[in-house]
Amino acid sequence: MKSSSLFDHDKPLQPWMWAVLVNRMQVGYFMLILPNVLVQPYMVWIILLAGCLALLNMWVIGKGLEVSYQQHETEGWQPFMGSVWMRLLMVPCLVIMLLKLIIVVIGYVSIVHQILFPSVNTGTFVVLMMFAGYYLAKHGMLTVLRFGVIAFLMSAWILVLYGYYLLPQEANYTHLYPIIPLQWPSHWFESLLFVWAALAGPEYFVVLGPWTGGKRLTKYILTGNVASLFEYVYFFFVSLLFFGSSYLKSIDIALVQLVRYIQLPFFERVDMIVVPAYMAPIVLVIALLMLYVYGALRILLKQIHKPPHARGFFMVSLAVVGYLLIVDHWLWTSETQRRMWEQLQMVVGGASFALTPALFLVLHAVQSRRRKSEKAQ
Amino acid sequence: MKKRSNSLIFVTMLLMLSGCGSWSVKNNIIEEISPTILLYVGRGADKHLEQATLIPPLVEEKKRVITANVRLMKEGRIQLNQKYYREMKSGQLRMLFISKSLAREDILPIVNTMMIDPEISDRLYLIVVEGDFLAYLNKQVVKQQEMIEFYLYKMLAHYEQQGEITVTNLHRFMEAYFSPYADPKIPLFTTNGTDLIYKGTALFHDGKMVGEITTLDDPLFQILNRPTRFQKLLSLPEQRVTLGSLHTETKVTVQPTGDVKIYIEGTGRVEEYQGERDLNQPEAAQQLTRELEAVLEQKAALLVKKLQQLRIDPLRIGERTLGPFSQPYTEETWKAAWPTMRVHVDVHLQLESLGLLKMKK
Repeated sequence: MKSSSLFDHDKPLQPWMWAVLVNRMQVGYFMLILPNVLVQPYMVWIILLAGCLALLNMWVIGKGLEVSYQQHETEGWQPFMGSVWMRLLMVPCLVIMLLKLIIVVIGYVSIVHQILFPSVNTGTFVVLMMFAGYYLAKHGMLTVLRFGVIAFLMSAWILVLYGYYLLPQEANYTHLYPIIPLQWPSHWFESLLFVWAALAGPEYFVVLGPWTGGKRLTKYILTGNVASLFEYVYFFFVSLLFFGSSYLKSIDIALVQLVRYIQLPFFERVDMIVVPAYMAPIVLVIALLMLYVYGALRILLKQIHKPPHARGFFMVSLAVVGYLLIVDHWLWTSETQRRMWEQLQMVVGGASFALTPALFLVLHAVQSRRRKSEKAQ
Repeated sequence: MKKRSNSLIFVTMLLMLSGCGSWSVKNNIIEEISPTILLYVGRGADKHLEQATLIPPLVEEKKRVITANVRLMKEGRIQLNQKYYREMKSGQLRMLFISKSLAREDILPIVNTMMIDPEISDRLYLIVVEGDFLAYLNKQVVKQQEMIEFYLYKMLAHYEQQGEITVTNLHRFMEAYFSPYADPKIPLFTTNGTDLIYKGTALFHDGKMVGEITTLDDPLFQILNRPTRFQKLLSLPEQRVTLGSLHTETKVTVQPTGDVKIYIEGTGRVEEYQGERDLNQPEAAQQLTRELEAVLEQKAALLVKKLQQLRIDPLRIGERTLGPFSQPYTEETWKAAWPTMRVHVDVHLQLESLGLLKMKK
């Protein structure tokens, strides 16, 4: 656990792990609240539409990863790391990452607080979650990425649990009718944006070229995205079959409500296991984002050429915890504030998902052209 | 060193996971709490809610009924708590009995309170009860019926699987309440002080009880309610016959003209016959079958007519109008059209073992 191992990339990741990682990055807090936002049965087309658009973006991300690997091999960006432009670029990146951290951590913590432990202060959970994230991140980027597989194993089995609601005793299939919109749907653009923002997350991988080992990963990334798409449609249908659209509107987190309805003969509160199981992908995202925040701060503060520092990372994590506690205590206290954060994340997260990979490729093009012209001279 | 720090983290996390320590405010030490299984709400004096529960559940201790008379649902919980030395918890609450007089007013605020509480499961059974339920409970306690609430719960759980009687939980009630093409229904029990008797189905419209379907009509209501059903026994005393092992298939279609067609296909056997006909004669057996079909058709038509007069649709006939690509009635147009729709009921019976016992010498 040497400090310099934080960003080690001596061993590349298995290609199939990228599929798992992409999938787990896309199932977060937004997926849990997705059924309540979409509500109408015909909104399933919105999910599919957003998913197909995301597939295009995934292809760009796959390209970005290849480029990122080339850049790493040729050390093409090394001279720019300390430049003012690069440092300035880190400021919006930091803002985006810190915003995502809020949604991921506090969104999940508020669910836990509401359903499992209403008598325990939310701040305690924030600290615990962040500690778990820090503990994972401390082992370095490679471990964090490999943790994706564990996160998948810990949370994907929940899909099977919801299969119970597809059986006719509980499922009312007429709730799916009419499945095509009979008049022009209102809020369709907002819903599209929401699903798009929910699918955001894999854009963070675009700079992880050194961990790919130079393999072509596009098909794995696409597979991961298709899997998440399937999961979205599945969860949406399950909650619709059980609640029906008009009831679904009035429910806070339908997926958790569904789990609470399951009553096994030997164990009743299945939510006590399912809600913590969702913690695994969330810890994965936290750990990844903390490493990114640390990396971005190193570029911003011109520390990039020095080796990463364990104490530095600890201090950064501490600051992030403090920041989250402040948000939790003052800025995320009511339903309206929660809505505000969700709206903000919807716009910012969606924009970053759409623009980051493309921007990355543009930067690459500019850089390689400049290098060519330098060579010509 | 690394191992020790890892195990330390593990132990701390374990400690934090366990919910019943003094670390959190919520104390769930089993000797100090009393989970309740049953709750009764009725209308008390001057618009108060009268609540009652049985304590202690499943503990070898003398049972008794405690009551509270309050304005709010949760206020009742506070008052009940203050009357008893153990703190009451609602995590195991399984049944909510609502008095008929209260159900006639509006049960939505009460049901909603139950929904909001994250401790209470959506599987909470709802029952409307007619008569003096408190007297019944008190009598059971005196009779040393130690686990009466547990037995009641088991009964409801049994019939929820069987489908013999109406069983509704919190989720089903709310789902039907919100659904544009359905109205909720709750089992109706009656008590004379000594027994709790299933009387039929209480019909609701927007949280208010508006009508009831009583014993002899109730099996027919269950048959109409589900696409396929297995009815163990169906007695028709006026025809002096009991049908058994009746498999029914109910098809409800709404014609584009606005007519409702209900087609019931039933196969079963005659389990009891005290009438005059000699069922060994195929013609007589045929006659009986036709007669029973006619009777069932008439009864079913009357039942549906009654629902139409009450302007409710607990059978979810409105849902049958929907198709994957069409929605001929919106919520409003359906609610306006339903009470005046023409309903045709067609029953087709296939009966076995007619005249199996050759009584004639």
